[in-house]
Amino acid sequence: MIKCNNLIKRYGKEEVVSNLSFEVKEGEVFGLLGANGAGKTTTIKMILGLTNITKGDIYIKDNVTVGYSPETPYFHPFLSGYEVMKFFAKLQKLPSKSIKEEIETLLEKVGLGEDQHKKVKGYSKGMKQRLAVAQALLGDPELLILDEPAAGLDALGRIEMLGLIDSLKKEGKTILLNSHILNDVERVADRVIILSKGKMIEEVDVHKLSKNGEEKLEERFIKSIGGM
Amino acid sequence: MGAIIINSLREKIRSKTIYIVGGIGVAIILFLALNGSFSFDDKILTDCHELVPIVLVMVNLFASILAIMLSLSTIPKEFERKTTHLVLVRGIKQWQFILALTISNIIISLFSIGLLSISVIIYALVQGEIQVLLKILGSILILGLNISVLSAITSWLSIKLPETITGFIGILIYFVGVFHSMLSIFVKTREGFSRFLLEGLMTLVPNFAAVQKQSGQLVTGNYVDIYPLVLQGLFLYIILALTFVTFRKEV
Repeated sequence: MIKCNNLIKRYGKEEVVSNLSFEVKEGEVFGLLGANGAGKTTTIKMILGLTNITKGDIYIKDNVTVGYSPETPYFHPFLSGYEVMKFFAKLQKLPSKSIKEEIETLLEKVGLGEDQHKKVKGYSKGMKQRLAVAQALLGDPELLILDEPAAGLDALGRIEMLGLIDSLKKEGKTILLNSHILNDVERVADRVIILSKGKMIEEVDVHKLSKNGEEKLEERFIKSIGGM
Repeated sequence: MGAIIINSLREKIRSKTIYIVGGIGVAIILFLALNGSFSFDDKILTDCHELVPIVLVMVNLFASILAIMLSLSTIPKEFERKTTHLVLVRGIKQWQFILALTISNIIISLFSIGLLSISVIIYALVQGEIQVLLKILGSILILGLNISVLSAITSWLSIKLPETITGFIGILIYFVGVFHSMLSIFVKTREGFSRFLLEGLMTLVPNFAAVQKQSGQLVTGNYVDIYPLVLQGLFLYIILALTFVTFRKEV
C-alpha cells in the first residue's frame, strides 16, 4: 500500500529523517514507534504530501483513498461535532444525499453519537481526538493514517479507541499508526518500526513477539534505542 | 471552497474586534459630525452636503484599519493551528485554501464598512437629508473597492510575512495610497534614478485617494470618473491572482 525508499528530510542543516525505508502492506496495522522528535510525524507529513521530501521516494497505491487524523486536532469551537463532519464531508465532495447518514454512523462509531450536536468548545481532549478519527473515516478510506490517536484519552477512552482500530482492521483497512504508547501499539499493530533520531533502528513483527511471550515490545524498544 | 469561506466567516463574525473598533468608530464619527467639529479655512462646516464627504473619508479610515486588523492573521492562524493539514489531505490545493480565506477576509471587511456606514446614515437622518441616502449607499459601495483591495493585499502579505510586519506594511500602503496624488506630485519633482525608483514604487501602491474622491463626487452629485474605479478593480484582480502563486513550503 505504501512503500518508502531511503527517505531523507532536512530542515536547514538538521536531518530529521535519515534514509528511512519501510513498506506498509495492504490490510495491516503498521506502527511507527519512537520517542518525541524521532521523526514519526515528519514521516507521516511526507507520506501525506504536507511537507517536501529532501531525498528518496514514496509510492502509494494508485487511486487509494486516505483518511488522516492529526495528533493535535483543531476544530472551530463554535461548530458542533456534526457540523465539523459536514464541513469536511463538503470539502471531500461526498454525495450530499448520504452525508447525514454517514456522519451520524461515524459519530456513533467513535462514541460521539449523543454529543454530535454539542459545540466543540464543550468537548474534552479525548472527544476531540475521537472526532479527529471520525473525520478521517469520512468517505470510507482504504488507508488510515492515525497520528497519536489515543493521546489525551483516559483509560476507558483508550480501550475504546483501540477497539475501534481493531474493528477497522477487521473491515480490511490499512492503518499507519503513529504512537509513543507502546502497550497500545503492541495490542493493535501487526508490524512496527522503531525510530530514533530520524533513523530506523529495528523492524518488529508484533505477532512473533507475542507468540514467544518472552519479550514485550517495551523491552525490545528500550533495547533498540539503547536506553536503561 | 464555499465551505471554507463560510466557516471562516462564521469565526470572524464572532470577532470582538469588529464590534469594538466599529462601535468606537461610529461613536467618534457621529460625535465629530454632530458637534460641528469639522472646519475648513476657519469656517465650521455644518451643512450636510459639505460634511457627508468628510464623514465618508472617516468611515474609510476606520474601515481600512479594520480591514487590516481582520485580514492579517486569518491565513497564518490556519497554518499555525494545522487546520491546513485536514484541508489539504482532501485534495484541496493550497492556493484554493488561501484564496478562500482571502475572499472571507474581503467579505468581512466589507461587512465592517457596512457597519461603520451606520454613522453616515444616522447623521443624514438626523439632518433630515433622506434624499441623500441612496447616494451614500453608492459611495459606500465605491469605498468598498478600496477596502477590498486593502484586505486582499494584507491577506496576500500574510501568507509569507509575520503578522506585525504585515500589519505595518498594510498601514504604510494605506497611507501611501490615501496620499497617492500628493506623493505623485512630489515624485515628479525628483530626478534621475530616485525618480525612476519612486515612480516604480508608486505604481505598486493602489491609488486609494482617487477612489475616495469618486465616492465624494457621487455623494455631492458631481461627475464620477469611472477610470480610477476600473483601475482599482484591476488591482484587486492582480492581488487575487497573486494568491494563486504564493504559497508556504511548510504547511
